[in-house]
Amino acid sequence: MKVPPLHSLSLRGVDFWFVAYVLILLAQVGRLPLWLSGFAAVLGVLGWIIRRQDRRGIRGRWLAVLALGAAALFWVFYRGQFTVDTAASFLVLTVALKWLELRRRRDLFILFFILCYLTVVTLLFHQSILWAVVLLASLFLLFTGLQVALGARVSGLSGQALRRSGWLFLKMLPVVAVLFLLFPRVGPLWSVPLVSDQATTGLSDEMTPGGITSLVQNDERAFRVTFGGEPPARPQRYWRALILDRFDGRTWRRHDFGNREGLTRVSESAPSDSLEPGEYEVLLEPHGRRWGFGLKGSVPASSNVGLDSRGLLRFERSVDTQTRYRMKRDSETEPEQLSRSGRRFYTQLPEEGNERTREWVARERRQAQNQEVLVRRFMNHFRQEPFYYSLQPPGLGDNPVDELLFETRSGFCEHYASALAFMLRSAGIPARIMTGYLGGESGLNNDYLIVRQYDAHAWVEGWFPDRGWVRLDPTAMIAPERIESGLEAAMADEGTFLQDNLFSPQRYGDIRWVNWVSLRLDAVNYYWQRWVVGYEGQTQLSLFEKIPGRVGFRELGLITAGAVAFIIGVAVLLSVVQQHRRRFRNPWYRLYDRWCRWLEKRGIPGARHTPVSAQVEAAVAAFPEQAERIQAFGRVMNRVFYQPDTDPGLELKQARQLLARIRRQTIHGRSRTAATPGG
Amino acid sequence: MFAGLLILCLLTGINYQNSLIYLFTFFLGTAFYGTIFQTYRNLDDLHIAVISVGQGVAGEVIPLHLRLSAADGVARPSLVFSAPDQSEIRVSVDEGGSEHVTAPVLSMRRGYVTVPPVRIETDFPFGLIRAWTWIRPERQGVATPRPIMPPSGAQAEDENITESPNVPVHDGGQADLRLRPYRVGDPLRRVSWKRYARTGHMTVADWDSPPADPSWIDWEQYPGVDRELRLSYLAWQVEDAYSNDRPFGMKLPGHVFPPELTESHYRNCLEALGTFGDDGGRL
Repeated sequence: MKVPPLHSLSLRGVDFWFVAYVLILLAQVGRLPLWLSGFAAVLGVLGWIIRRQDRRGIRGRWLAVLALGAAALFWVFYRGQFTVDTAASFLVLTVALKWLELRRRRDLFILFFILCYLTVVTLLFHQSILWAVVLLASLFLLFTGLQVALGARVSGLSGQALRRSGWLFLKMLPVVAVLFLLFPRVGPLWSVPLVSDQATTGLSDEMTPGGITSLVQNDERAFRVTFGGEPPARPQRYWRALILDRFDGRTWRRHDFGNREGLTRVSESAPSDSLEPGEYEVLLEPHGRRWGFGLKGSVPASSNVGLDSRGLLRFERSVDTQTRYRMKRDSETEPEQLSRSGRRFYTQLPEEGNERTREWVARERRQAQNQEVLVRRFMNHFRQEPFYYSLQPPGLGDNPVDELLFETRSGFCEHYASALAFMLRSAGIPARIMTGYLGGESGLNNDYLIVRQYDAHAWVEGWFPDRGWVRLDPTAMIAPERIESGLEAAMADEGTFLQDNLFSPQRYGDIRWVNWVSLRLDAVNYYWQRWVVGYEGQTQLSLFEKIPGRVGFRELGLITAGAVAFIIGVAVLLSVVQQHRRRFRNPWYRLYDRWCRWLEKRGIPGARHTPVSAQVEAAVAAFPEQAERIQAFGRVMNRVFYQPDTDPGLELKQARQLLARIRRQTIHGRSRTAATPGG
Repeated sequence: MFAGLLILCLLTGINYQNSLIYLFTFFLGTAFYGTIFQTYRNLDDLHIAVISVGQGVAGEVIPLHLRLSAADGVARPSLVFSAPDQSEIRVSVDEGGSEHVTAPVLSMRRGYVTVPPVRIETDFPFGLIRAWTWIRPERQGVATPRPIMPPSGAQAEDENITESPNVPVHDGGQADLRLRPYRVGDPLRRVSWKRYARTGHMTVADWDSPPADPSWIDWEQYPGVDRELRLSYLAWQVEDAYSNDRPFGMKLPGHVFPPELTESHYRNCLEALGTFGDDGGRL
């Protein structure tokens, strides 16, 4: 069968889609490789130009060449990686090419469906309110565009289409809300590939001088914490993430315990009932790594997070979307024992380098009676000597510890932590670097803490036989205000707090209204993440726990099915009632209905489905004595229904009277004829 | 296909435990449900009036003239009309306007044609759902015989006369007769007594072999030919005369259409041919 080509006006609807495409592309551009974004943009614009010229696409041959070229590039770039990331990129590519081929109706639908799915997939990468709204808008544009494309021949359709899809979305909103609330959020069905190894900012698993400093210019959120009960004091808020235990003279690295990540299911998030005292809940921003953040001595209270052998938080899979987990502070932890090989491991140092420090440590060691005194002497050294806490320390050479301690005396937490760990190890005390975050500012109404990238911190843990691992933070000796009140206070003199980040609201935290607005925005975002984005299986179940009776996914499924059936029923009912009312607003239709009912009552079945002329004929046959009136009535009705241009306004009353008389007369007639045989 | 999309979205949402994907999937799903109503509404309250059923040649299509108007003044885009075995017609009714549609209806044979149910469907606004209804007009159309060119013999004779259309007109009203001298045995009532009175010659109007006359299309012209074929010949002649602007009359057993050259005459003649011998069917 020959399929007619698209109407030229259909292409106007496609322009709506183009806007939606631009929105989606904006959301994806940060993660797409540059060539792909460029390719998608160029093809999109090319498609636009082609449509402006009222053409339906380019030649099939050219399209094939383009498609093959794009596929080849894609293959070279991604090398058969299979993640959602690459799948989404591939969808972008497909849509980009599809702009150049819009010949038939079928092409429209293919494009529509791909765009819909692309919109949905984009939600894997963005979950903030802003992007959710933007993507919803693009969905809206897709539906509007489809209308315009399909109903192309009607003039002024764009406005109507906008109105119609607007109403559609509005009317559906309560239904969507109910479904969202009730639809059972079962756990993941099978393992799915990662979203991607996104290059997000955050802690890295090695520490070179300058590493954390660059992070500190960043005001992005790392995570947010809600405490059940009172949050611990600021100096206690050391959020541990990583242990760096191998030192090569310059860089601290993490020992890899061979815990490779395989293809795993996405874990379910934590329940959302209220927190017990001592519990806390972390809402972690995606950082593409597998570690989490927790206070010392706390254990997981939700199933989506675990502890590794050294007591650090680990996720099953990389944190590629926002993740909520719960921890419980457990104060009664036994001091951790360290084996002989463990002690050797934690005191390893390079054979050479930083000789001055080694000599200095040896001197100090001779003067101290025991390890504790020695450590105290180290810390006092940091406190008493003129060390400076600076974001812009001078560069360090081949013996960084020597240079820091005896020459520059200026550095950031990572420099001092590195130096202290070196000192401890060369004194034979097992030591390791801890990285993570320190502190966190209060969110709106002190409901939660916001920990940002600039709260990143590095400190040292030393091991003592009777006390286990003990936190030692040289920064606390040099710049106690960093611990007590945060980085901004610590950098007040130097003025380097967020100096590269001119537009950060955190930089203007002292301006009242900026602070007010930014706190509120963050709170809205937090509750959005917590209750909408984070509305998953456990959250749902804990919400429905309040209802008496056990509500599991099974029950929820039944409830959902019931609700859907109910909604469908109500919608049908409403529609029928509305139609009935609309029809009966027309007085002529009411009259016609009365006439039909009369016919049916008088034994002319199926009258409603025959034309007026046939009805009249049948009625005349049944009541010949009324022939004249019936015919007159029929004439009026016929004129009203078949010549709507003539104005029958005046005749309405007349027609009503006619019908009334016919009805009255036939009742009399009936009774007379019925009476005759008896009388 | 849309259901496939929904399932795909839902699976993505489940496996990535992504609440927003659930949300959007529900949006898509309910929009789909809403589409059912939207599509229904595109046909609802659409007034369709049958204006007339036209004529057409048997075996070909007969036009069914309809007028569409939206009672509520809302545009009705993308309505598709289709009669059985016919190509579809796409119509849109503009906001507050009305539209004239001619739907083709297939006629199988000559005679009264009962219009088969015509399907109106629409998949507007989203093309995901199709709503349809049938209209069953009570009117009948007429299929006229398929015109067939008469065999060349009759044709030649025809053309001869067409070339010399000026048959001598003698006495008014008798122009169509061929006159010849009286032969013994000719019936007396055929003698043109007027002529005899004027000229003194016995002249006879010859009726035995009347020539095919250009302005009369006559059933008797093709004696012995099958009825349907004869009707087809006549239909051809009617078409021929009408398209060449020649006034014509038509004689059928029981019907005589005096010569005329108007469209209604042309139509009446064709209708008579179409319904010849077919009195059934009309209600």
